[in-house]
Amino acid sequence: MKNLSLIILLSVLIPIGINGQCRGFTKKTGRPLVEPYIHNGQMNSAVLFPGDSADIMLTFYSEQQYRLVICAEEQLGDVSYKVSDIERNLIFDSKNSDSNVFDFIVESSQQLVISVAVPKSEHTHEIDFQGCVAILVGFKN
Amino acid sequence: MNIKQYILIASIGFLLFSCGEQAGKTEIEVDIDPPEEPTIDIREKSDKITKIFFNIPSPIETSKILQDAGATYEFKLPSNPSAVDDYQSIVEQSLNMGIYGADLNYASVFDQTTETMLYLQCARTLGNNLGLGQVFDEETIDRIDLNLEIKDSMQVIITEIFWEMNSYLEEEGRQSISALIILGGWVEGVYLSTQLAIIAPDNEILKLRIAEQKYSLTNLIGLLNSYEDDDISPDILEELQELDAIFNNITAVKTTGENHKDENGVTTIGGSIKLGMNDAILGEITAKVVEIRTDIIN
Repeated sequence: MKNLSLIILLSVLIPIGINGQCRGFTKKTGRPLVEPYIHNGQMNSAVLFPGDSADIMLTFYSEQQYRLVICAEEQLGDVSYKVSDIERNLIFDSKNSDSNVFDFIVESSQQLVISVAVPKSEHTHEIDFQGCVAILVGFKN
Repeated sequence: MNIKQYILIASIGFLLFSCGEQAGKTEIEVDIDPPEEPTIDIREKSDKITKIFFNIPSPIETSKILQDAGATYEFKLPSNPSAVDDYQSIVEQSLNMGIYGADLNYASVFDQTTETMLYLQCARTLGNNLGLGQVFDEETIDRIDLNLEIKDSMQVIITEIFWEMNSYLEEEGRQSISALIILGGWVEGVYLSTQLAIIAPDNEILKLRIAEQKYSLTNLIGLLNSYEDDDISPDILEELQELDAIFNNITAVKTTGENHKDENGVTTIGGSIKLGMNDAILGEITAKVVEIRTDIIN
């Protein structure tokens, strides 16, 4: 009964709390990493579970320099990301660079796909903790 | 479990989940019997998903692109700030928040202080109507007052204002409102670009920037389609799909190239995509965008 009560209570609290947490996390942890680039002001974030992945399709202009920042809450482990063109040809894989920041220029304006993957949980129990993943874009001329 | 214990758990829960990143690192500890079964059954371990998101360049980025393309500030083009009180429904307010937001960035990038203030006021009015008044707090207003003449600082402040609005909407589960703001901003950006192309018909860079909007429109339609919401009306989507059909007449010839990284760690993604847009297509895009924008602002 105690467990049931706790589940009901937390199921009410967690969605509100996690969303607010994602906003605060992105602001405090992600946005400073965008500097000295100008943050484009867009909020691309999601609450993910271990084993989840997320793809985001973005357009980038030629003659601009961009900074892509991926930040994830610690409990999600080593979140990796890849940058591909629209035909899914791999351009960048964070596993080869160990950085959550990718600075780049596109010779021609184009759509790119940023794929973020949260590692599977190593816990043996059947519960996973969710966490916030934020994708931020900065630019400069 | 008595009522005091509920209050205690609620308080702990609130503290844990309202303290930014620290909260995320913290294990949930409450003084109850050790659980025999999973206590926080948020989702089954086997139930993994892939989420797909879409986004487009922000109005500040588009305004910078226009400036780099040699465009000028034309006072007659942006939306009428006096019309701000005419927008009564949430959909109208959201779409016009996007329109005014793009006009605000256009004015700011081209260093038009009076217009910047006018459009900031429009954003504030619509922000209040949309329940986003907290974004324009005293600190933000003071920063605006102090930095009004400093273009770079103003652009940072404007970007932060729109980020805060966007993130509050996301936090409150009102992403479709956010999508409508993005839609309004994109329409105004293409409207300004196409009207500026009429004023400067020989500006080929500007025409290229208009043609490149085909990518953003694809993403924008994807973004709007991801919300099964009454706020995103089928009429708006239909209009955009008609515009998309025009953009699809633009040809694209892709040449592959090598990627390389310079000494500063900046990767250049090589290859070229040559877009072909003749004046007839440009004329059709211009007319369709005027039609969509007119529906939004009137």
